[in-house]
Amino acid sequence: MPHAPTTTDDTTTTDATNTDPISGETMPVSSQSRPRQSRPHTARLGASRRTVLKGTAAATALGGLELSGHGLTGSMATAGAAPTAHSAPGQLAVVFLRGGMDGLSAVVPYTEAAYHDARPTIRVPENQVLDLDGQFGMHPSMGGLHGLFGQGRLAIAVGTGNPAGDRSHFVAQDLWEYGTAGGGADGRGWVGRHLGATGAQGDSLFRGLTIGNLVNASLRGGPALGVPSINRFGLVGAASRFSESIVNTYEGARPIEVTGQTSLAAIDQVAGVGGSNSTDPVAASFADAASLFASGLGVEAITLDIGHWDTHDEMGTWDEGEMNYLLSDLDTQLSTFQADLDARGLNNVTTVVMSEFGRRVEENGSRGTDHGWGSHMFVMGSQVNGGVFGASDWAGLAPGVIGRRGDVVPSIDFRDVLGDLVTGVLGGNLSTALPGHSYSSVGVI
Amino acid sequence: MESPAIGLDVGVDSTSVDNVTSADAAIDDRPASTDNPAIAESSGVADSSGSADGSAIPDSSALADDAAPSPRSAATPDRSAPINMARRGFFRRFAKMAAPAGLLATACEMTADSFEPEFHLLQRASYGVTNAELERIRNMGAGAWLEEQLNPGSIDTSQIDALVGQFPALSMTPPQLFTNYRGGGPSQAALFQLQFASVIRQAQSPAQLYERMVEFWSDHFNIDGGGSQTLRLLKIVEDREAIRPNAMGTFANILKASATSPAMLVYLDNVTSSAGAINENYAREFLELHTVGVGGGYTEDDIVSLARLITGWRINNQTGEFQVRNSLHDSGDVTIMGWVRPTSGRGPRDGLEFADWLAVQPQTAEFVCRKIAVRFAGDNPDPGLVSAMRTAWLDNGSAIVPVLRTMFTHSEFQATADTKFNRPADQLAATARRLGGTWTPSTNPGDLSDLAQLFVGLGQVPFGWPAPNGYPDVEGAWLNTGSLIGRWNLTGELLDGTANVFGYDAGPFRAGLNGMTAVDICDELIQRVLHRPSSGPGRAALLVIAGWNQNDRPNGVQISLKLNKLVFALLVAPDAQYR
Repeated sequence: MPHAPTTTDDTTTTDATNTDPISGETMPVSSQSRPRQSRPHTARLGASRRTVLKGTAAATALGGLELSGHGLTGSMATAGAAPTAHSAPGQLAVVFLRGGMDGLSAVVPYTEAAYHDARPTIRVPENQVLDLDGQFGMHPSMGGLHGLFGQGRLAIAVGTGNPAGDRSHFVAQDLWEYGTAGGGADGRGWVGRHLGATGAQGDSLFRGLTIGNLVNASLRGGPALGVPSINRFGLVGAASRFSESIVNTYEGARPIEVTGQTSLAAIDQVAGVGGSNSTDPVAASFADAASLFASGLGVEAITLDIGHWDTHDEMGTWDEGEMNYLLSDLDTQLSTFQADLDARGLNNVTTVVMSEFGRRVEENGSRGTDHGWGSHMFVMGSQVNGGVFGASDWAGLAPGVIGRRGDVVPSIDFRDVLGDLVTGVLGGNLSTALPGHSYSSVGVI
Repeated sequence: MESPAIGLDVGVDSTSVDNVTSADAAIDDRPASTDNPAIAESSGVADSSGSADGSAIPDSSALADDAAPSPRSAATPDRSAPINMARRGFFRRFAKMAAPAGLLATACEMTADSFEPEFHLLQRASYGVTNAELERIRNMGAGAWLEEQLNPGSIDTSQIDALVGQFPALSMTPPQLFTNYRGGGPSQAALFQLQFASVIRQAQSPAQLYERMVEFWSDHFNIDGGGSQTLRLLKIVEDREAIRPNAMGTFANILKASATSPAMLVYLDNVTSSAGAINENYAREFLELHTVGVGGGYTEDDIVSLARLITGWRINNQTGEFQVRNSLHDSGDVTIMGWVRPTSGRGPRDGLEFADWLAVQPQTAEFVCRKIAVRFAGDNPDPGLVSAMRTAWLDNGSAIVPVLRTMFTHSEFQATADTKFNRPADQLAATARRLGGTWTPSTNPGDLSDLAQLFVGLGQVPFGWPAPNGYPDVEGAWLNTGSLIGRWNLTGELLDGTANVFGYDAGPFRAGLNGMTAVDICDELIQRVLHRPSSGPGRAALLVIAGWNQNDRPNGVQISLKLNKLVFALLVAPDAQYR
């Protein structure tokens, strides 16, 4: 499969700047891939991320501390020492679309009359889709991803779902993040189980992290940092001046204290990594993710969330309105992220995009859609086997198939896609990461 | 079409019969955006509910709770005994873990273990201990203090009311709000006023338990104020008219107030739901999040039935108030979880009867009481405690005050002292109260912008959780690196006076320290900030931070130089993150 051309620039030196060819401005490296970025770095938001740990007890290796429930494993590396290398094939970005993305709008089974009949207002006409394989086509606002598909760098698994079929956002999200169809859940996430099982002395602190205020459940059970943003991952003002106060009060073994020590050590290590100045929170999250993948800090998995997918009402039409806007944004976010990764030469980062359920085949009385079941998953990156997977098993939208409530019936268990990623990207063990599941490869990696 | 008085363009009921604009609940994150134009709603067709198949929602009780189990603290020591260094129950969880050689195995605890029911009650029922309030509760006794807090009408809130009365948006009617704050930026500025008022009330209102309950219900009946300009403005009204008046009444009343609030009608789309063209979003969350919970015994068919029952709920275009439209209402037979719709006098308000019935069902009592217990009594509340609360609920027609009284006086409540991890907003309020600081209301854009930055850094924006389930409430959700960094920075900013709108007097912390030994200064500061006697490790940590030896006698200048650093240490200390 052809891969995207890599750049030859070394983009890892923090002092490097580049001249924007469009504006002529000199800009830090982290914004290189988005030439229209223009907001000046706000001192208040900027972290005074100076080293806090010199000469303190916290800088010495603590030894392996496993704290169940918080999953903080591994020791803090001595300042300056390289973290233990983990020989994973690649790095993984997990993007969770919160609310239940309407897969049928994103990847359209446009040859089926049942699709068009069920969605008089919100359907995408046959002649407007961006064709994928003659059976499915992408929403017309998703040209970026369609382009990646053309390059062989986008895999689309159609008809994916969780056998549990729960229609509660919160239950379904938990099931997906735990990687289970219910029952016997151990409270750990599918990525967290892998990271937790493969923890070792001298591990990087950054093996798994969420970009956000809360750490995603998919990382539970393993070491996981919460990183609101790179720029905010540091001490400012009095906290910075008085960092000694923190060092000396977070010295013990309670979970909060260990988390505090981890925070201080992590701040030090992130100090040299450029953060995004974008005022668009999602764009900033993706930019920071790319920076962290490129940082050499030993990042193996990053999880991110995108909200607002619970489109119960007024989805609009194919060419304007809510769904068009959501998919267009998503296309921009993912394409820009991939371009950023390409520019940094990060060919081993694979991105998976999922949601807790799809939505009903039929539009509802408010020209929106209600909670459904089956949907699609995207897997993006230079290492994927591009193409549409599961098309021949696609259950279709015939009345006899979709049932009384009118659902896409899944033909691929979501855990099979996750399994491909566990082995092909994380280099993990299937029965560890996804216990209780009989895996059958989809082949996206 | 004549432009509507409010111009909500959201399921607004125009004056012409049978012509109802559809809702625009477009999620709109863009600054200064405008609502989409209204689309005329098509007329409904016959009811499309199928026969019940009785399929149950899968039992999700096997899923683990968000939090790892948090242990209860040690058994109540004798209060008359000297304060000892008894290990807290907090350590029991890790008894099996061997401390690695060379590691400081003890926690850095700032204060000695001491258990005082008044202190514990004050910590939990309020937003944090202050000197004045601690003295007051010790003088009147925990019981009398609790009774006062359970009766907020008896508390003089004129000062705090006058303070937040300086926010003009908070008292505006919907037409006034949509006139004065229309648009993305203006509506955000209006919502800031509500967010700021919330911060001020939590830090400074004498009716502390009442404000705790307002926050609780705001989470429980979550409305994402950031979603659209319409929602931001309607949230202001909902806070004033649905949540605050009913926060310590009956659950039945607050449930109905929430259900009929224009904000909720828009947020979860019931405002667009009509006979034959139902929208099930609100009905689902009504059962799953607001009343009985996921395992509460309802089916997918029950959700559809409830959605049918509450069709025709709309918003009056002129006043922005709730009203019903008979012509859009499904008056057919409805059975929900065994409740059967009465045959005669059917109409859109039957949904309120169902709410009354559901409010006093055991599943509702169990679900909501457990949430209240998690908020006030710890992440894994004792089943006996929840059971007692449930009984109080059912014995008193879902009245909240008896439930709270039962909880706060229960022996299992006493046993959970100091184990509840503060969410960022809790920490903001507790820190403000520890400093004895005050917020000054301001609608100045620069001040509001400062405050917005503060919230972002804090990681918890009032009324800003983006899903209907409200901010999580367990340690497992909130204890992470970013959350700690956020609150350390916030504490530093409050101390530095970075935000113009917050100020405190350092005098009481500084006073009388001249001439004391370093050890005594540290002990005294621990008492002044954390209101409890110091512990060995706490004192030792402060000495290191100050760079003093224990028998030093720092002079006035030296004390002044170190004061902020020491106060900061106490405010960020691990102990100080728990209540």
